[in-house]
Amino acid sequence: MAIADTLNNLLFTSTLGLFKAYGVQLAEDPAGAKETASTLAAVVGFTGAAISGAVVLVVDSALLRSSTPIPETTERDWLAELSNQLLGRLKNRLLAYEVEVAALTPTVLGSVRIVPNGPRNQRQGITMAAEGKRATVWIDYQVKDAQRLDKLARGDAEVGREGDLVLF
Amino acid sequence: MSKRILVVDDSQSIRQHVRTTLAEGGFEILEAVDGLDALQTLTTRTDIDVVICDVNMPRLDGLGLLDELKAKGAMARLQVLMLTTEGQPAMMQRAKQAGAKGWIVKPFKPPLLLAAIKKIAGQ
Repeated sequence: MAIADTLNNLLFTSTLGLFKAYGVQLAEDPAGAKETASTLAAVVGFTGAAISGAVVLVVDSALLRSSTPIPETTERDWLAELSNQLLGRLKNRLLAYEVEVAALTPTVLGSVRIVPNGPRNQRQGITMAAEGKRATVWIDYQVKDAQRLDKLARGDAEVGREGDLVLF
Repeated sequence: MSKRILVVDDSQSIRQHVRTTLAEGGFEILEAVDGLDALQTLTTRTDIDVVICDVNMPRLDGLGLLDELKAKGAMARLQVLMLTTEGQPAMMQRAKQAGAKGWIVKPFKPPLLLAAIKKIAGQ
């Protein structure tokens, strides 16, 4: 399995798992991204010795509203937190492949048209949908040390779980 | 008397979610927006029982806050639970060595968080 395939698979499953944790069961939509006036996007970068890049999460207002456990929060704050947790999930799955990255601060963008641009990393983004709610994610990355990504290229690691309590 | 809990997270959404989750436990909730804000609160107030703390925050992160509290001798009177997107064993070990009582990777399950805080707070 190529690095790009593993990364996209991890990003896809991380996104599904994240929204499922907040009560929204998404499924991949092969029709792809659709532009809407109420779309917001969050960009969160990551950096490590082996790989660096950014994850982009684009969601519509319907998905933001239905996923938030706190109705009074702002869409911008909730999307920033979702993107933070999405990268956290990805980071924790990468740890199982012995790939360690650090997250940067999310940036939220609104009222802009955002689409993946070019196949630098082979895939144009993954769109997921459920009952009129949509999310599109993609990862843009640069390999800095391919040798450190051997396990990632093989795609054969067990991954951890969120939400569990560890008492010391 | 209800236990006082300081929720330290730079996300307003998470602070509000934790506040809502713990409401049924009868806790008194205070908030801090980052580690430095929390350190200032914990330096001036000695009536806080439990701290729920994120790791990645501006100005002073959660592990830095633990180090500061340990250096000031404040960990002896505080019960600290880390609530974060981070899952690196090295970070968890560092938190444990600083005196934290537990670690939850976000997103959290509200009933589990409530039960954990009741246990940690001795309630």
